[in-house]
Amino acid sequence: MNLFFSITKHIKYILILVPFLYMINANGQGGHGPVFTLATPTLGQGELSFDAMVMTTKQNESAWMLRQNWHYGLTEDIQLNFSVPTTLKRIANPPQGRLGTMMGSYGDLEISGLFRVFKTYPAIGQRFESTLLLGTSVPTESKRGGITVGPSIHAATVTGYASRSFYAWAGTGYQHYFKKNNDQLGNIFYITGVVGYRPAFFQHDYPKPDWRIFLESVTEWVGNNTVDNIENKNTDLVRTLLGPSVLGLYGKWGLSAGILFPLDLTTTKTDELELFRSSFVLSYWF
Amino acid sequence: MKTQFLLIIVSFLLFPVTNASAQITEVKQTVFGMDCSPCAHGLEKRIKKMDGVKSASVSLNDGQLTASFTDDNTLTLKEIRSAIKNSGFDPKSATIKVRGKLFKPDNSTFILKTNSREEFFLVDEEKNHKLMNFKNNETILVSGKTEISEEVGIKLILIDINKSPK
Repeated sequence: MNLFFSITKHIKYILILVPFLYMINANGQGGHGPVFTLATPTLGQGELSFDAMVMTTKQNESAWMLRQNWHYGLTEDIQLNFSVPTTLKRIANPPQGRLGTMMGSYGDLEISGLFRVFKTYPAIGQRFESTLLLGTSVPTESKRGGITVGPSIHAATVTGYASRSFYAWAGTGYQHYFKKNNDQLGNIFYITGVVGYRPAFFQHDYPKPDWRIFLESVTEWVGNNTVDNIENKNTDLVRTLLGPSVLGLYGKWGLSAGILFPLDLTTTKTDELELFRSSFVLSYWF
Repeated sequence: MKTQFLLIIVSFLLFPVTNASAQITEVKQTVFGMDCSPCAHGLEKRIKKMDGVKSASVSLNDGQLTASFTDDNTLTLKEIRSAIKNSGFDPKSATIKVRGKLFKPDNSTFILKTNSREEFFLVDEEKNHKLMNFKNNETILVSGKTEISEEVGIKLILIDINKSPK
Protein backbone atom coordinates (compact mmCIF):
# COMPACT_ATOMS: atom_id res chain seq x y z
CA MET A 1 0.00 0.00 0.00
CA ASN A 2 2.87 2.35 0.90
CA LEU A 3 4.36 1.64 -2.50
CA PHE A 4 1.08 2.56 -4.16
CA PHE A 5 1.02 5.90 -2.35
CA SER A 6 4.63 6.54 -3.25
CA ILE A 7 3.90 5.93 -6.93
CA THR A 8 0.86 8.21 -6.69
CA LYS A 9 3.04 10.84 -5.08
CA HIS A 10 5.48 10.71 -7.96
CA ILE A 11 2.92 10.51 -10.73
CA LYS A 12 3.65 14.16 -11.63
CA TYR A 13 7.14 13.16 -12.80
CA ILE A 14 5.69 10.42 -14.98
CA LEU A 15 3.14 12.86 -16.40
CA ILE A 16 5.91 15.30 -17.27
CA LEU A 17 7.89 12.59 -19.03
CA VAL A 18 5.12 11.19 -21.18
CA PRO A 19 4.58 14.25 -23.42
CA PHE A 20 8.34 14.71 -23.57
CA LEU A 21 8.60 11.25 -25.12
CA TYR A 22 6.37 12.32 -27.96
CA MET A 23 8.08 15.67 -28.52
CA ILE A 24 11.36 14.14 -29.56
CA ASN A 25 11.80 12.50 -32.92
CA ALA A 26 14.95 10.48 -33.48
CA ASN A 27 16.04 7.03 -34.52
CA GLY A 28 16.53 4.14 -32.14
CA GLN A 29 18.79 1.22 -31.28
CA GLY A 30 21.20 0.05 -28.62
CA GLY A 31 20.89 -0.76 -24.93
CA HIS A 32 20.16 -4.39 -25.68
CA GLY A 33 22.24 -5.80 -22.89
CA PRO A 34 21.85 -7.23 -19.41
CA VAL A 35 20.13 -5.57 -16.46
CA PHE A 36 22.80 -5.27 -13.75
CA THR A 37 26.16 -5.69 -15.39
CA LEU A 38 28.36 -3.69 -17.72
CA ALA A 39 27.83 -4.17 -21.45
CA THR A 40 29.18 -2.56 -24.60
CA PRO A 41 26.33 -1.59 -26.94
CA THR A 42 25.98 2.07 -27.84
CA LEU A 43 23.30 3.89 -29.80
CA GLY A 44 23.80 4.99 -33.40
CA GLN A 45 24.47 8.63 -34.24
CA GLY A 46 21.51 10.88 -33.36
CA GLU A 47 19.54 8.06 -31.80
CA LEU A 48 17.65 8.36 -28.54
CA SER A 49 16.30 5.82 -26.10
CA PHE A 50 14.62 5.87 -22.74
CA ASP A 51 14.43 3.34 -19.91
CA ALA A 52 12.07 3.41 -16.98
CA MET A 53 13.47 1.13 -14.32
CA VAL A 54 11.95 -0.03 -11.10
CA MET A 55 14.56 -1.38 -8.71
CA THR A 56 14.24 -2.97 -5.34
CA THR A 57 16.73 -4.26 -2.86
CA LYS A 58 15.90 -6.09 0.32
CA GLN A 59 17.87 -6.05 3.52
CA ASN A 60 15.74 -6.17 6.63
CA GLU A 61 13.14 -4.32 4.62
CA SER A 62 12.82 -3.42 0.97
CA ALA A 63 13.92 -0.18 -0.66
CA TRP A 64 12.21 0.78 -3.90
CA MET A 65 13.48 3.16 -6.52
CA LEU A 66 12.31 4.35 -9.91
CA ARG A 67 15.07 5.34 -12.29
CA GLN A 68 14.62 7.17 -15.57
CA ASN A 69 17.49 6.79 -17.98
CA TRP A 70 17.93 8.77 -21.17
CA HIS A 71 20.50 7.68 -23.73
CA TYR A 72 21.62 9.67 -26.76
CA GLY A 73 24.05 8.63 -29.49
CA LEU A 74 26.38 11.56 -30.13
CA THR A 75 28.22 9.46 -32.71
CA GLU A 76 27.95 5.76 -33.41
CA ASP A 77 30.75 5.25 -30.85
CA ILE A 78 29.86 7.83 -28.20
CA GLN A 79 26.70 7.65 -26.13
CA LEU A 80 25.59 10.13 -23.49
CA ASN A 81 23.50 8.93 -20.55
CA PHE A 82 21.39 10.80 -18.06
CA SER A 83 20.07 8.83 -15.14
CA VAL A 84 17.56 10.30 -12.71
CA PRO A 85 16.53 8.44 -9.56
CA THR A 86 13.27 8.80 -7.74
CA THR A 87 13.13 7.09 -4.39
CA LEU A 88 9.82 5.37 -3.93
CA LYS A 89 10.52 3.80 -0.55
CA ARG A 90 13.53 4.60 1.58
CA ILE A 91 15.26 2.40 4.10
CA ALA A 92 17.54 3.52 6.91
CA ASN A 93 20.76 2.06 5.50
CA PRO A 94 20.52 1.40 1.81
CA PRO A 95 23.26 -0.84 0.41
CA GLN A 96 26.31 1.02 -0.81
CA GLY A 97 26.69 -0.23 -4.38
CA ARG A 98 25.75 0.72 -7.90
CA LEU A 99 22.71 -1.58 -8.07
CA GLY A 100 22.81 -1.38 -11.85
CA THR A 101 26.34 -0.74 -13.06
CA MET A 102 25.33 1.22 -16.17
CA MET A 103 23.58 3.90 -14.12
CA GLY A 104 24.05 5.79 -10.89
CA SER A 105 24.15 4.40 -7.39
CA TYR A 106 21.20 4.42 -5.04
CA GLY A 107 19.83 7.98 -4.99
CA ASP A 108 22.48 9.47 -7.30
CA LEU A 109 21.68 11.53 -10.37
CA GLU A 110 24.33 10.56 -12.88
CA ILE A 111 25.58 11.91 -16.19
CA SER A 112 27.87 9.60 -18.07
CA GLY A 113 29.38 8.87 -21.44
CA LEU A 114 29.98 5.55 -23.12
CA PHE A 115 32.93 5.54 -25.48
CA ARG A 116 33.29 2.54 -27.75
CA VAL A 117 37.04 2.31 -28.11
CA PHE A 118 37.21 -0.89 -30.09
CA LYS A 119 34.85 -2.75 -32.40
CA THR A 120 35.10 -5.47 -34.95
CA TYR A 121 32.36 -7.31 -36.76
CA PRO A 122 33.59 -10.75 -37.82
CA ALA A 123 30.34 -11.97 -39.40
CA ILE A 124 26.64 -11.34 -39.76
CA GLY A 125 25.10 -10.54 -36.38
CA GLN A 126 28.42 -10.72 -34.52
CA ARG A 127 30.39 -8.02 -32.76
CA PHE A 128 33.41 -7.81 -30.48
CA GLU A 129 33.53 -4.50 -28.66
CA SER A 130 35.24 -2.66 -25.86
CA THR A 131 33.69 0.36 -24.23
CA LEU A 132 34.80 2.91 -21.67
CA LEU A 133 32.25 4.43 -19.29
CA LEU A 134 32.98 7.74 -17.57
CA GLY A 135 30.52 9.52 -15.35
CA THR A 136 29.86 11.89 -12.53
CA SER A 137 27.02 12.00 -10.06
CA VAL A 138 25.35 14.25 -7.55
CA PRO A 139 23.12 12.94 -4.76
CA THR A 140 19.43 13.69 -4.71
CA GLU A 141 19.33 13.33 -0.94
CA SER A 142 21.53 15.04 1.61
CA LYS A 143 22.11 11.99 3.79
CA ARG A 144 22.24 8.29 3.10
CA GLY A 145 22.38 5.89 6.03
CA GLY A 146 23.16 8.84 8.30
CA ILE A 147 26.15 9.94 6.22
CA THR A 148 26.25 13.17 4.21
CA VAL A 149 26.54 12.20 0.57
CA GLY A 150 28.92 14.03 -1.74
CA PRO A 151 29.26 13.99 -5.49
CA SER A 152 31.16 11.18 -7.13
CA ILE A 153 33.10 10.22 -10.21
CA HIS A 154 32.88 6.86 -11.88
CA ALA A 155 34.96 5.05 -14.47
CA ALA A 156 34.45 1.60 -15.91
CA THR A 157 35.52 -0.49 -18.83
CA VAL A 158 33.87 -3.47 -20.45
CA THR A 159 34.66 -5.78 -23.28
CA GLY A 160 32.62 -8.52 -24.84
CA TYR A 161 30.91 -10.33 -27.62
CA ALA A 162 27.36 -10.27 -28.95
CA SER A 163 25.75 -12.37 -31.62
CA ARG A 164 22.31 -13.63 -32.55
CA SER A 165 22.76 -16.58 -30.17
CA PHE A 166 25.44 -15.92 -27.54
CA TYR A 167 26.50 -12.94 -25.47
CA ALA A 168 29.34 -12.44 -23.02
CA TRP A 169 30.72 -9.32 -21.38
CA ALA A 170 33.25 -8.75 -18.62
CA GLY A 171 33.86 -5.41 -17.03
CA THR A 172 35.26 -3.55 -14.08
CA GLY A 173 34.60 -0.15 -12.57
CA TYR A 174 35.43 2.22 -9.75
CA GLN A 175 33.35 4.91 -8.12
CA HIS A 176 34.90 7.51 -5.85
CA TYR A 177 32.78 9.62 -3.53
CA PHE A 178 34.02 13.03 -2.51
CA LYS A 179 33.93 14.21 1.05
CA LYS A 180 31.10 16.52 2.07
CA ASN A 181 30.58 18.08 5.50
CA ASN A 182 33.42 15.87 6.79
CA ASP A 183 31.53 12.74 5.72
CA GLN A 184 32.45 10.46 2.88
CA LEU A 185 30.83 7.34 1.53
CA GLY A 186 33.11 4.39 0.89
CA ASN A 187 34.41 4.02 -2.64
CA ILE A 188 33.12 1.15 -4.76
CA PHE A 189 35.27 -1.12 -6.85
CA TYR A 190 33.45 -3.80 -8.78
CA ILE A 191 33.78 -6.43 -11.44
CA THR A 192 30.94 -7.79 -13.50
CA GLY A 193 30.48 -10.75 -15.78
CA VAL A 194 27.55 -11.89 -17.84
CA VAL A 195 26.77 -14.63 -20.33
CA GLY A 196 23.65 -14.72 -22.44
CA TYR A 197 21.87 -17.08 -24.75
CA ARG A 198 19.05 -16.73 -27.23
CA PRO A 199 17.43 -20.12 -27.84
CA ALA A 200 16.69 -21.17 -31.40
CA PHE A 201 12.95 -20.81 -30.96
CA PHE A 202 13.47 -17.11 -30.16
CA GLN A 203 15.61 -16.51 -33.22
CA HIS A 204 12.79 -15.31 -35.41
CA ASP A 205 13.69 -12.50 -37.75
CA TYR A 206 12.92 -8.83 -37.15
CA PRO A 207 10.26 -7.52 -36.52
CA LYS A 208 9.11 -10.57 -34.58
CA PRO A 209 9.74 -10.64 -30.81
CA ASP A 210 13.27 -11.38 -29.76
CA TRP A 211 14.01 -12.89 -26.32
CA ARG A 212 17.26 -13.73 -24.60
CA ILE A 213 18.32 -14.88 -21.15
CA PHE A 214 21.37 -13.88 -19.14
CA LEU A 215 23.26 -15.10 -16.10
CA GLU A 216 24.73 -12.04 -14.42
CA SER A 217 27.32 -11.67 -11.70
CA VAL A 218 28.50 -8.62 -9.77
CA THR A 219 31.25 -8.52 -7.14
CA GLU A 220 31.60 -5.30 -5.17
CA TRP A 221 34.31 -4.12 -2.82
CA VAL A 222 32.97 -1.22 -0.82
CA GLY A 223 35.34 0.87 1.27
CA ASN A 224 34.83 2.21 4.77
CA ASN A 225 32.65 5.24 5.29
CA THR A 226 34.03 8.35 6.93
CA VAL A 227 31.99 10.24 9.49
CA ASP A 228 33.18 13.56 10.94
CA ASN A 229 36.59 13.00 9.40
CA ILE A 230 36.97 9.67 11.16
CA GLU A 231 37.07 6.52 9.08
CA ASN A 232 34.39 4.23 10.33
CA LYS A 233 36.19 0.90 10.42
CA ASN A 234 34.22 -2.23 9.68
CA THR A 235 31.81 -0.49 7.35
CA ASP A 236 33.57 -1.97 4.36
CA LEU A 237 32.27 -5.08 2.69
CA VAL A 238 32.76 -7.48 -0.17
CA ARG A 239 29.80 -9.11 -1.80
CA THR A 240 29.16 -11.24 -4.84
CA LEU A 241 25.73 -11.44 -6.35
CA LEU A 242 24.60 -13.83 -9.04
CA GLY A 243 21.31 -14.28 -10.79
CA PRO A 244 19.30 -14.57 -13.97
CA SER A 245 17.77 -11.90 -16.14
CA VAL A 246 15.68 -11.90 -19.26
CA LEU A 247 15.41 -9.37 -22.06
CA GLY A 248 12.59 -9.20 -24.58
CA LEU A 249 12.73 -6.92 -27.60
CA TYR A 250 9.92 -6.15 -29.98
CA GLY A 251 10.54 -3.47 -32.57
CA LYS A 252 11.27 -0.31 -30.65
CA TRP A 253 10.19 -1.70 -27.28
CA GLY A 254 12.23 -3.57 -24.75
CA LEU A 255 11.30 -5.30 -21.52
CA SER A 256 13.81 -6.77 -19.12
CA ALA A 257 13.81 -8.11 -15.61
CA GLY A 258 16.36 -9.70 -13.37
CA ILE A 259 17.19 -10.70 -9.85
CA LEU A 260 20.55 -11.14 -8.11
CA PHE A 261 21.17 -13.11 -4.93
CA PRO A 262 24.26 -12.85 -2.73
CA LEU A 263 26.68 -15.76 -2.97
CA ASP A 264 28.71 -14.68 0.01
CA LEU A 265 29.09 -11.58 2.08
CA THR A 266 32.06 -10.56 4.16
CA THR A 267 31.04 -7.75 6.44
CA THR A 268 30.58 -6.90 10.05
CA LYS A 269 27.19 -5.44 9.20
CA THR A 270 25.49 -8.82 9.39
CA ASP A 271 22.22 -7.22 10.33
CA GLU A 272 22.22 -5.45 6.97
CA LEU A 273 22.71 -8.43 4.73
CA GLU A 274 21.37 -7.69 1.24
CA LEU A 275 18.98 -10.54 0.54
CA PHE A 276 18.36 -9.79 -3.12
CA ARG A 277 18.49 -7.05 -5.74
CA SER A 278 15.97 -6.94 -8.54
CA SER A 279 15.04 -4.73 -11.46
CA PHE A 280 12.29 -4.39 -13.99
CA VAL A 281 13.00 -2.22 -17.02
CA LEU A 282 10.82 -0.88 -19.79
CA SER A 283 12.78 0.57 -22.72
CA TYR A 284 11.75 2.58 -25.74
CA TRP A 285 13.85 3.49 -28.76
CA PHE A 286 12.64 6.61 -30.56
CA MET B 1 46.18 -0.54 -61.94
CA LYS B 2 47.59 2.95 -62.47
CA THR B 3 46.56 2.85 -66.12
CA GLN B 4 43.03 1.95 -65.17
CA PHE B 5 42.94 4.74 -62.65
CA LEU B 6 44.18 7.25 -65.23
CA LEU B 7 41.62 6.04 -67.72
CA ILE B 8 38.86 6.57 -65.20
CA ILE B 9 40.00 10.15 -64.62
CA VAL B 10 40.40 10.83 -68.35
CA SER B 11 36.98 9.40 -69.09
CA PHE B 12 35.48 11.54 -66.38
CA LEU B 13 37.00 14.66 -67.96
CA LEU B 14 36.02 13.70 -71.48
CA PHE B 15 32.47 12.66 -70.70
CA PRO B 16 31.12 14.75 -67.85
CA VAL B 17 27.75 13.65 -66.59
CA THR B 18 25.19 16.36 -67.16
CA ASN B 19 21.55 15.92 -66.33
CA ALA B 20 21.24 12.23 -67.00
CA SER B 21 18.24 10.51 -65.47
CA ALA B 22 20.15 7.72 -63.87
CA GLN B 23 20.42 6.34 -60.37
CA ILE B 24 20.44 3.41 -57.99
CA THR B 25 17.08 1.65 -58.07
CA GLU B 26 17.58 -1.27 -55.68
CA VAL B 27 20.08 -2.27 -52.99
CA LYS B 28 20.55 -5.49 -51.08
CA GLN B 29 23.27 -4.53 -48.66
CA THR B 30 24.97 -7.02 -46.34
CA VAL B 31 25.41 -5.46 -42.90
CA PHE B 32 27.69 -6.83 -40.18
CA GLY B 33 27.23 -6.13 -36.48
CA MET B 34 23.44 -6.10 -36.12
CA ASP B 35 22.30 -8.47 -33.41
CA CYS B 36 19.06 -7.09 -31.99
CA SER B 37 15.63 -5.83 -32.83
CA PRO B 38 16.33 -2.17 -31.94
CA CYS B 39 19.43 -2.38 -34.19
CA ALA B 40 17.19 -3.32 -37.11
CA HIS B 41 14.56 -0.76 -36.13
CA GLY B 42 17.14 2.04 -35.95
CA LEU B 43 18.71 1.23 -39.30
CA GLU B 44 15.38 0.76 -41.06
CA LYS B 45 14.11 4.08 -39.73
CA ARG B 46 17.31 5.90 -40.70
CA ILE B 47 17.22 4.57 -44.27
CA LYS B 48 13.50 5.30 -44.68
CA LYS B 49 14.16 8.91 -43.69
CA MET B 50 16.52 9.46 -46.61
CA ASP B 51 15.16 11.38 -49.60
CA GLY B 52 14.40 9.11 -52.53
CA VAL B 53 13.81 5.89 -50.56
CA LYS B 54 10.68 4.06 -51.67
CA SER B 55 10.92 1.14 -49.23
CA ALA B 56 13.40 -0.32 -46.77
CA SER B 57 13.46 -3.45 -44.65
CA VAL B 58 16.04 -5.19 -42.52
CA SER B 59 16.61 -8.88 -41.89
CA LEU B 60 18.58 -9.60 -38.74
CA ASN B 61 19.05 -13.28 -39.50
CA ASP B 62 20.42 -12.57 -42.98
CA GLY B 63 22.21 -9.39 -41.90
CA GLN B 64 20.74 -7.60 -44.86
CA LEU B 65 19.22 -4.24 -45.67
CA THR B 66 16.91 -4.28 -48.70
CA ALA B 67 15.88 -0.94 -50.14
CA SER B 68 14.26 0.36 -53.28
CA PHE B 69 14.39 3.93 -54.53
CA THR B 70 12.22 6.37 -56.43
CA ASP B 71 12.98 7.12 -60.09
CA ASP B 72 14.10 10.64 -59.34
CA ASN B 73 16.37 9.85 -56.40
CA THR B 74 19.87 11.25 -56.29
CA LEU B 75 21.21 8.93 -53.62
CA THR B 76 24.62 7.36 -53.88
CA LEU B 77 25.76 4.02 -52.59
CA LYS B 78 28.31 5.94 -50.54
CA GLU B 79 25.50 7.82 -48.74
CA ILE B 80 23.65 4.60 -48.00
CA ARG B 81 26.82 2.99 -46.64
CA SER B 82 27.52 6.09 -44.58
CA ALA B 83 24.03 5.89 -43.01
CA ILE B 84 24.72 2.27 -42.06
CA LYS B 85 28.02 3.26 -40.46
CA ASN B 86 26.28 6.06 -38.53
CA SER B 87 23.93 3.43 -37.14
CA GLY B 88 26.99 1.69 -35.73
CA PHE B 89 27.27 -1.17 -38.22
CA ASP B 90 29.60 -2.25 -40.96
CA PRO B 91 28.35 -2.34 -44.56
CA LYS B 92 29.95 -5.13 -46.56
CA SER B 93 29.28 -6.14 -50.16
CA ALA B 94 25.96 -5.32 -51.79
CA THR B 95 23.95 -6.45 -54.75
CA ILE B 96 22.59 -3.39 -56.47
CA LYS B 97 20.58 -2.41 -59.49
CA VAL B 98 21.71 0.88 -60.94
CA ARG B 99 20.84 2.91 -63.99
CA GLY B 100 23.49 5.05 -65.57
CA LYS B 101 25.40 6.05 -68.68
CA LEU B 102 28.05 3.73 -69.98
CA PHE B 103 31.44 5.17 -70.79
CA LYS B 104 34.09 3.19 -72.59
CA PRO B 105 37.43 4.97 -72.56
CA ASP B 106 38.87 1.89 -74.28
CA ASN B 107 37.85 -1.64 -75.22
CA SER B 108 38.59 -3.06 -71.79
CA THR B 109 37.40 -0.30 -69.45
CA PHE B 110 33.73 0.18 -68.72
CA ILE B 111 32.42 2.83 -66.40
CA LEU B 112 28.86 3.47 -65.34
CA LYS B 113 28.07 7.00 -64.19
CA THR B 114 24.91 8.01 -62.38
CA ASN B 115 23.30 11.44 -62.18
CA SER B 116 24.59 11.74 -58.66
CA ARG B 117 28.13 11.58 -60.09
CA GLU B 118 28.83 8.19 -58.57
CA GLU B 119 30.95 5.92 -60.74
CA PHE B 120 30.96 2.16 -60.98
CA PHE B 121 33.86 0.34 -62.55
CA LEU B 122 32.11 -2.51 -64.38
CA VAL B 123 33.75 -5.93 -64.26
CA ASP B 124 32.71 -8.71 -66.62
CA GLU B 125 33.98 -11.69 -64.64
CA GLU B 126 32.16 -14.25 -66.76
CA LYS B 127 33.70 -12.79 -69.89
CA ASN B 128 30.45 -12.96 -71.84
CA HIS B 129 31.30 -9.59 -73.43
CA LYS B 130 27.75 -8.28 -73.06
CA LEU B 131 29.13 -4.84 -72.40
CA MET B 132 30.47 -4.69 -75.95
CA ASN B 133 26.86 -4.71 -77.18
CA PHE B 134 26.21 -1.29 -75.74
CA LYS B 135 27.32 2.01 -77.16
CA ASN B 136 29.32 4.65 -75.50
CA ASN B 137 27.11 7.17 -73.64
CA GLU B 138 24.16 4.76 -73.74
CA THR B 139 21.85 4.54 -70.71
CA ILE B 140 21.84 1.04 -69.29
CA LEU B 141 20.40 -0.77 -66.28
CA VAL B 142 22.98 -2.92 -64.54
CA SER B 143 22.68 -5.32 -61.66
CA GLY B 144 25.80 -6.50 -59.97
CA LYS B 145 27.71 -7.22 -56.82
CA THR B 146 29.84 -4.45 -55.38
CA GLU B 147 33.44 -4.64 -54.28
CA ILE B 148 34.75 -1.46 -52.76
CA SER B 149 38.39 -0.55 -52.40
CA GLU B 150 40.30 2.67 -51.77
CA GLU B 151 42.35 2.22 -54.94
CA VAL B 152 39.72 1.46 -57.56
CA GLY B 153 36.56 2.83 -55.96
CA ILE B 154 33.39 0.83 -56.52
CA LYS B 155 33.79 -2.25 -58.67
CA LEU B 156 30.51 -3.70 -59.89
CA ILE B 157 30.77 -7.34 -60.86
CA LEU B 158 28.11 -7.82 -63.49
CA ILE B 159 25.14 -10.10 -62.94
CA ASP B 160 22.85 -8.68 -65.57
CA ILE B 161 22.79 -5.77 -67.97
CA ASN B 162 19.98 -4.28 -70.05
CA LYS B 163 19.31 -1.31 -72.20
CA SER B 164 17.28 1.23 -70.29
CA PRO B 165 14.70 3.55 -71.86
CA LYS B 166 15.75 6.34 -69.51
